[in-house]
Amino acid sequence: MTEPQQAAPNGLQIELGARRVSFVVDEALYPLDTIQGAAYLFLDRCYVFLDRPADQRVAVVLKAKGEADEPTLDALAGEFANELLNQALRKAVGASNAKIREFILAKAFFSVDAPSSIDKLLAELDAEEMEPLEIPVPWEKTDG
Amino acid sequence: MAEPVVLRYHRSLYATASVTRAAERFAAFGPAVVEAEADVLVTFADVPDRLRERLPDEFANHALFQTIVDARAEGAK
Repeated sequence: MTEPQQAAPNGLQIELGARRVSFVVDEALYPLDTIQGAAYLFLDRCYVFLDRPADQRVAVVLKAKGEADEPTLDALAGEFANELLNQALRKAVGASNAKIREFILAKAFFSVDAPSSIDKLLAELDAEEMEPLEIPVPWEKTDG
Repeated sequence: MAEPVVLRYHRSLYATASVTRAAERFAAFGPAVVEAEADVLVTFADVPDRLRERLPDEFANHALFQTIVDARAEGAK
């Protein structure tokens, strides 16, 4: 690490080094699955390493896969911070909508107004048997 | 003989089973996974010099990927 702590626009205390940027995330604000969700989205862009410097703290190290200058690394940290917020929001919305989702699913699965597929099949079979124009005629009688 | 490459991951962040699974994909480098108190240690004994710098980065991504995928699969059960 070549530089001491810097304050990024998003308020994260980031540390810049050669091709890498690191910062510490408070697990009380962003649970581990939120941090993992954000990390997952960055795996193809950079190398991601997580560490635990203290209880309830997760250190995130992002290392560029190629050459990267300070503004690029700073932007990378900022994007990760935004993604943390995005993941946290998705989780919160998902949790608050869980009951509604379950209700909609249950309604979709258990509404029984429509006839079942077996009923439809049987009805089609009945209709075919009742068709008057397709009554089989013995072949001897077709010659007139 | 070159020094082995020893990587250390915190067990609360990287599942041992997932790291082991990731290490299996790097078997060509002779990986060994060991738990040591709070950490999971991965030792690569046969790393060519030209890969010694890159291997830890690549393996870190694989270990994290496997941990996240396994955690999600476990959560979906």
